[in-house]
Amino acid sequence: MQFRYDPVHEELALVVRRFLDETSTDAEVRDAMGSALGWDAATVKRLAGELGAFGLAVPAEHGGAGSGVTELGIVLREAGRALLCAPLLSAALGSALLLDVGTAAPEGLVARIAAGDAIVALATRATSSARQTEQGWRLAGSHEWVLDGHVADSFVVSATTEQRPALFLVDANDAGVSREPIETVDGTRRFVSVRLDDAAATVLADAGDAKAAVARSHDLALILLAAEQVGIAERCLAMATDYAKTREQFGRPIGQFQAVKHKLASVVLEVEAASAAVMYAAWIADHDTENVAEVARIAAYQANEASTLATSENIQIHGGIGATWEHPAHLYLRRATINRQLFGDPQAHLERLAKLIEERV
Amino acid sequence: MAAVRNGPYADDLPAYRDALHRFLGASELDAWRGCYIDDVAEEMQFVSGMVRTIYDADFGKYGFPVEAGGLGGDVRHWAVMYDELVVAGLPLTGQHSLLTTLAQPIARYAPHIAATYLAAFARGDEWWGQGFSEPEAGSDLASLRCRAVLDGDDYVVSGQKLWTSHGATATHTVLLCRTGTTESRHKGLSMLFLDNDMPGVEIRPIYLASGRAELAECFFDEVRVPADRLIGEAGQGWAVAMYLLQFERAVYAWQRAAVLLERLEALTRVVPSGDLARRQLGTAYLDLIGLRARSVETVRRLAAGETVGPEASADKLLLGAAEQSVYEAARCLLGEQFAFSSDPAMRRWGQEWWFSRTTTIYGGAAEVQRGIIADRVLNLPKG
Amino acid sequence: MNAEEIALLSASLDDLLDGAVGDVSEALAELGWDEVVADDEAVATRLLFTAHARSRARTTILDRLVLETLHGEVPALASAVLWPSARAGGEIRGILTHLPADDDIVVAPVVRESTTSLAAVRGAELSGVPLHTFDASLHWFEATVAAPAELIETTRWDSAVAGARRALASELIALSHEVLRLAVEHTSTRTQFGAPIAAFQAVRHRLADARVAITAAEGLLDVAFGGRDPLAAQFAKAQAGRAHQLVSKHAIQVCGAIGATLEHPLHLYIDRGIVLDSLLGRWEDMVGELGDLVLTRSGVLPRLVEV
Repeated sequence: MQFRYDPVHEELALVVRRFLDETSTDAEVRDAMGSALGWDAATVKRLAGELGAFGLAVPAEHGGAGSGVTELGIVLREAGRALLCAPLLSAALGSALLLDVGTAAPEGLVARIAAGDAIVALATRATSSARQTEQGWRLAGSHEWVLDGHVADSFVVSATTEQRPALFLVDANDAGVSREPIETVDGTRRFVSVRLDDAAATVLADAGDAKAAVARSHDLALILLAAEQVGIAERCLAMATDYAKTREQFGRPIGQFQAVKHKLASVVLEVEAASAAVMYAAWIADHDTENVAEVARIAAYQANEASTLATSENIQIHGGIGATWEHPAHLYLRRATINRQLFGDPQAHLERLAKLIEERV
Repeated sequence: MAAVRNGPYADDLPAYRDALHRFLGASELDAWRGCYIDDVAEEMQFVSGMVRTIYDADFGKYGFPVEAGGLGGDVRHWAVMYDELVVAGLPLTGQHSLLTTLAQPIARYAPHIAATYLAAFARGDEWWGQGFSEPEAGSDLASLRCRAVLDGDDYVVSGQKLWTSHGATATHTVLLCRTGTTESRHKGLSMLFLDNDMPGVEIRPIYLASGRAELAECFFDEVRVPADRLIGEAGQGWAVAMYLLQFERAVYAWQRAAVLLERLEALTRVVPSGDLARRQLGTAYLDLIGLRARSVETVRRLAAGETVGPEASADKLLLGAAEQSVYEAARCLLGEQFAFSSDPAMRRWGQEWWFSRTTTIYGGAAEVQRGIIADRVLNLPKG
Repeated sequence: MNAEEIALLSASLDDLLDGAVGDVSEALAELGWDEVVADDEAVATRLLFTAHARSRARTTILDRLVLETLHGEVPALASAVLWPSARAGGEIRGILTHLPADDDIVVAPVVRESTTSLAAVRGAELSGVPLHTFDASLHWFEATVAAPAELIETTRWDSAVAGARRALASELIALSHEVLRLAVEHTSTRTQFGAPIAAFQAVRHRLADARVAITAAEGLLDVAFGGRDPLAAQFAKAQAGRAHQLVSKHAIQVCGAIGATLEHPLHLYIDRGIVLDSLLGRWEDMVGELGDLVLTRSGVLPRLVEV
């Protein structure tokens, strides 16, 4: 296997970074945070169109670029660095899950996600209950913290049918669907809680298939979020390093003091370790799909460690200025905090990892 | 002048505690119980009513010399006040921490200013900012540049201050400024008492990452301050500042420990138990009681008029550790609730978590405190 | 006691404990120790266990301290304590810090249905195996004995444990000071990059953190001696063990390779502390117990410290 990105990957990172340097500046991020939509529509359109970021891992026959998790990870990492406000993660997870269930998904939906014309949000962390009626399936239940649910066209929902898990697609405009915006610590993304009250639904996957598909989707989510965390950590490391080189106290740049330079060195170690873990997890996801669960959790854990350390040391090294609203340090910390929790917290990852290792032994 | 005398509790701490405990349990204070207001200025204004009620009942007059409108006693009375406020479910806010920091230095180094102004502060009618840090002088306080030049009977002050706690709503500023040459470092500093409505003073709030505007930046453009507003003598500013920092580092640590114990109790009511919870909550409790055990000695020494000096840095470091121990436990154990918070109680945990991160920055960063201990307690060689 | 008296007493104890092994009761009696204790028990205990740490003596003072507290409940001739460790079946199992003679009487706590009683057994009834003690200078034993038919009811075991924890905390704090002293000495004289290494922040800040951890333990020990509260003794011992661990970690790092050799004295104070931390509750376990207290207590947590 390869242990570093090849030139094509580096080129991809560079292209995305250039694009985000221009479209996701601090001012743009703050504008997006204050907007009703939560992102700049023109930027998102270009992201999907010019860069093809939404369909990166979607096969060509569904209108995508046919790349893999490795490439997605590279883009998410850049998104983390720039605090990108866009439904990028939803697009990656929604399209992957719909592709996973195969022909059960409505024709053309994946292509519309890839083109940035549709948003399919995941409501798979909690479980609704489903019942079959003469008019078809009806779902009831509530789902907290659904990412990008505020403008989703439809939801992929986990629900049980007579104790058997299944996966459904629900039209967001169905009369039985209500959504409530949720304020979180992270203003760069939008979350809603979704209530289903006899909402009409179509089956995407049944029983065992559904469970496995959701598990695969969550593994992918962990890897992509870990990639974001690495981007966040890298950016915070760069900010803190730049500041340590220019801020003078006691007649010299504070970076000359060991208390500061050793902090930065410790962050480098964490970031390097996390970066390698994410790269490896993405590679496994592309080449050895049987063993993703473990590496996804290793990557998630390591990336959470790195982003926690990097975001908080960034504030400590910046001193007072780093704890103000106008400085971007807190925006990174806020996004990293949500990323830590979105698909289970670090403790849960460790426990699941221990179980997986136990099962293997 | 009429004879002024200490109050009945000045030398009887246990009786003060008992009487205060009873008073704070009374229904007239119910309006303030459990209060937490998102908007800091609003909160300060609201809590000042409580401070006034306690002052008017005489309990808020202890810890101040009679010459400054107090009833005598010392900083131990404050420590008792903090504990009892917390146990009674009443708020401890910016008023208390500023008073903790500023009252004793003013009473000692500027009795004439204390006699005129301190009572209004202690009564909650107003509060004062502490103008020390500047954009280019944070950890390196002795490099500050805000200048005060003597011109006739006035000092003319020009410069900028940053991170002034509650500066935007304060009526006065205790200002550390340079009266000597730029190269004079800590020798050329003096402390002045400014009215914030003097011409040339401009103050604007700074919004913190928590979303709260606790701090401010102050601009001084040729502000004329009467020379009798000196706190201590000209050139004595550093000594006054060091005296003041003992209180900022040590008595304030006791105050925060009192608050943090209540927060720990509140946290245990909302988190699930488990191994991680046992470990984190046990560590936080140990940190807090350890801080109190250290702090009590420092408070007693300050009460006895001793100089605590560099050892107060230990209190400050222990406070930083305890503060972050409680709120890291909150962040970890509240988990999703902490991150996805629509609930006001959860938003409060988030805002306080941010504040805990700044404990290792304000009042001399943790790195600076370690340096002080290395230099002056362990006597390690300097680089 | 004034500072001069304390210094004098401290020097006498250093002499008395230098190289001491086993029972030092008689020597202490000659020194007039009973009067010192009667005068100020807290100061006396701290001085004794501090000197014990400095000299790294291997005496029975801890056993004696516990037996004095239990005086009247246990046979007057009892001379050793079987320190609690994991217990199994009908046997009593524990740790002996020295090997009793056959006729010596050993007191052991027995916990049945969360009530502690005491067993007094003859040395000959115990069967023990030498422990591979982390501090190789200590020759401790793990011993078992069949529970006797008659158990002694006790009302003083808890305060005996609290007293022993205060003594252990005193000794751990003194050991930590020795470790820190060695680290300060080494780093102040060892030159690298043209300066004593203690001039580098990486070293200075570690040692400052070490010092602050000891400071907290000292504060808690004052509190524990002040009110004789068993919970305060638990806090003091927990923080003392925690401080010792932190100080040791930093000292080992800043003393470099020489600090990890047998010829350098650092390990003597580190090894001893690790062993003492394991008696009557390792600090990590005690933190868990404090966590249980926090989790199960409704209402106001004990503040323990008042001005």
